[in-house]
Amino acid sequence: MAEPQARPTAEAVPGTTEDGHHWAAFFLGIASERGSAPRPLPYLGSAAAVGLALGCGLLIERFVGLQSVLLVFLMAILVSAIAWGLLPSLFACVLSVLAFNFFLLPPVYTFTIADTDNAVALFFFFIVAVIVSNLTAATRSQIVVARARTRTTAALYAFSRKVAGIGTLDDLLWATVHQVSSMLNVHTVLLLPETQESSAALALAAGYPPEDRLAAADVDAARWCWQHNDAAGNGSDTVSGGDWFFLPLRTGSGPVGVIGIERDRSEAPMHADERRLLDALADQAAVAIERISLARGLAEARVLGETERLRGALLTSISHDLRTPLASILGAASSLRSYADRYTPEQREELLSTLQDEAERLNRFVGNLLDMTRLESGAIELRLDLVDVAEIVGAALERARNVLAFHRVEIDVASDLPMLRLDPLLFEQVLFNLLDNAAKYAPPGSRIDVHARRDGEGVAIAVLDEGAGIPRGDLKRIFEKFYRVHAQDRQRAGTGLGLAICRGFVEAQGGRIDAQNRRDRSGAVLTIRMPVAETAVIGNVLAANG
Amino acid sequence: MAEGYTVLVVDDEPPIRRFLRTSLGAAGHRVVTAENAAEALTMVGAEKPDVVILDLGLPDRSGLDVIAEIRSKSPVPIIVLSARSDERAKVEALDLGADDYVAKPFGMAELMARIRAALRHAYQADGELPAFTSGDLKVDLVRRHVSRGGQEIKLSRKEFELLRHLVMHAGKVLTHRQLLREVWGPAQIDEVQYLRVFIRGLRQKLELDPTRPSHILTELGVGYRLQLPPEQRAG
Repeated sequence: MAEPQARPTAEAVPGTTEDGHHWAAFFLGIASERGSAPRPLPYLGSAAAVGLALGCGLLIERFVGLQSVLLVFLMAILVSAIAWGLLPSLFACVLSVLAFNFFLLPPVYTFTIADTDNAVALFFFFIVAVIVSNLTAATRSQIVVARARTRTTAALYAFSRKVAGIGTLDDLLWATVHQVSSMLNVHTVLLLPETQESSAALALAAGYPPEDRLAAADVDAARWCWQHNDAAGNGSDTVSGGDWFFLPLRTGSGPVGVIGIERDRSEAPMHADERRLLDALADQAAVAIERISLARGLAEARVLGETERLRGALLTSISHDLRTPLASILGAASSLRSYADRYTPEQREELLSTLQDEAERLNRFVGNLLDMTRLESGAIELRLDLVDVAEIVGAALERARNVLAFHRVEIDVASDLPMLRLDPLLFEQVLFNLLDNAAKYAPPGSRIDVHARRDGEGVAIAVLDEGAGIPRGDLKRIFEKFYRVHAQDRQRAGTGLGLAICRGFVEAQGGRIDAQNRRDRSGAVLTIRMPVAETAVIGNVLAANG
Repeated sequence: MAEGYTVLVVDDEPPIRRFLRTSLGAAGHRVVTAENAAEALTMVGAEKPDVVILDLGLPDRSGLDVIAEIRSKSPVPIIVLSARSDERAKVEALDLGADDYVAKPFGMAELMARIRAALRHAYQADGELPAFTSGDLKVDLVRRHVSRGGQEIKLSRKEFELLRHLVMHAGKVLTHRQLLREVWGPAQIDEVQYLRVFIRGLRQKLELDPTRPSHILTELGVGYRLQLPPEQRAG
């Protein structure tokens, strides 16, 4: 559906502008002879044909006789009828009669005819020539019209095929005005309503050649056309004060816009065939515009559905992740209050540590929600600084101490790492979330490794656990908001925000994060890759002089 | 040593005031409270507290103003309570003269340790050069002698200067700018990477595991803190 669309070009439709002819000229057949001032070429051509016939005629007359000479002239008339149509061929008739009379009929070099036979023959020749001219010219114009219609049909078909493949409204509008403009040889504009209501104001959406604004009279005509769903403007019988002629783009469910073409006021009214062509183009454009708006509506509905799904996930997450710790906190606090004297010191200690652990969990969850909100609202303000990776790893481990109480943590930070330019607080949050995540999904007693090493041009920091690993299909998805790898043990399931925040924060600082499964044993590896800042070298030089 | 002091708690949230009054009272302190900046400034004059616990988000004025105003008339130690969104204000507060900070939500043990460190520093006689001992680490500022597990550690002149400042304020956070000003001079207060490099060097020499420091702690985005030995931290 979304094939890449090349900008429509004149070449895309065969025959649009070839050899300088325009569709209208072909399509209208004799219209060019009828409408505009007579062009000299056909008449010069006809005269030349007659001149050639005269030359042949003089030769034939000298060696054979006068009888067949008129047929030679008839050929010249036929030729000019086929080549140039009715008027040039009638011109050839008259020229032929005059030339025959002047050069060939005795007395030669005068326009008088001595012999009555010859006068009668010439008279009938003239009648026959005119009839032949007419017949030939009519046939010719039918052929021309038929050929033009075929080409028009082909062009319309090509246009409809092209617009069917266009996916965006802009491309479609552009293709439409370009097509109309080149097929009718006029300036073209397209106006669309600013909103969906029928009372909406119209705005210029496309023009070929590009137009910025229309005169007030034309705007009125366009509005009338839109409101009454009927043609208006220059060349119609309503609101015809401006220069443009407007036609509604109609579909089964009403007008979707207005197309306008500029017309010279002195020009004759639009030819029926021209109008039919414009109607055909307008219909195709209308259908395509409606199709694209429907598709857009569908996409919007899909986005809305996605938003709904996310909101649902958020609600689930909040109700579960806020309520679970709150339930423990309330439970523990109220038990302590009501039955304090019945508990052994160990039991009391147990309840108190539940209180504290659950409050801390709640705090982490609220922190995650805040981070996510900051990310989504674009309110992240980076405070970039050159920092020591080991230092940040240390700070994150310090903060995650309680979370990691049941795991063995091994750190391996290469000693030659350059300073990194990043936001220390955001980066520490990323590491904390990764450690928290590892602790959640790896069994108690297992080992969690933190590695920091040079990685090509940058530094790679990895957190490796010994949990069950990540299902292959989930490796990318775990960074999506509210996505959780299905946990059998609901207790350990996280908020579904931690890794989404990691990705957001890492990318905001110019790094990348990805998830893999370990090759040497079961478990996941989450790796952050950060580029090395150029100024980091300063720090290392200083260290050497310390 | 931490009993019988007057603590002024400034916070607009009644539950916070209530639980601090109870906990600090139970620890033997006299607690007075204020719920806004105006009240706090009056109290500082009237009650002559030994330490002020100040929330940065007050209804009438910025907590930063309050710090500046208190500092203009009193050296009383100020410990700032900062919310997560106050990252920047926290550093500003310290540079304006606050002594330490605790991020909300905080544990009582943490707050007590901060109060103790602040009082300790406030009542330390001028010119007194404390010796610092924590675990196997010993620092003698008078003799300029540092050792770990009885083994002398050689420090460069700048490294020792840095350590000296940390020791003089042991238990308290020192901002990057404070340390840079004291050790490198006022012209260098923005060269945080100098500091990072020297801290890294100090940790290599002083810490058992430099990747998990137990003496020189990082306060991300703020500065560093020399951890007091456990016996001085606990109440």
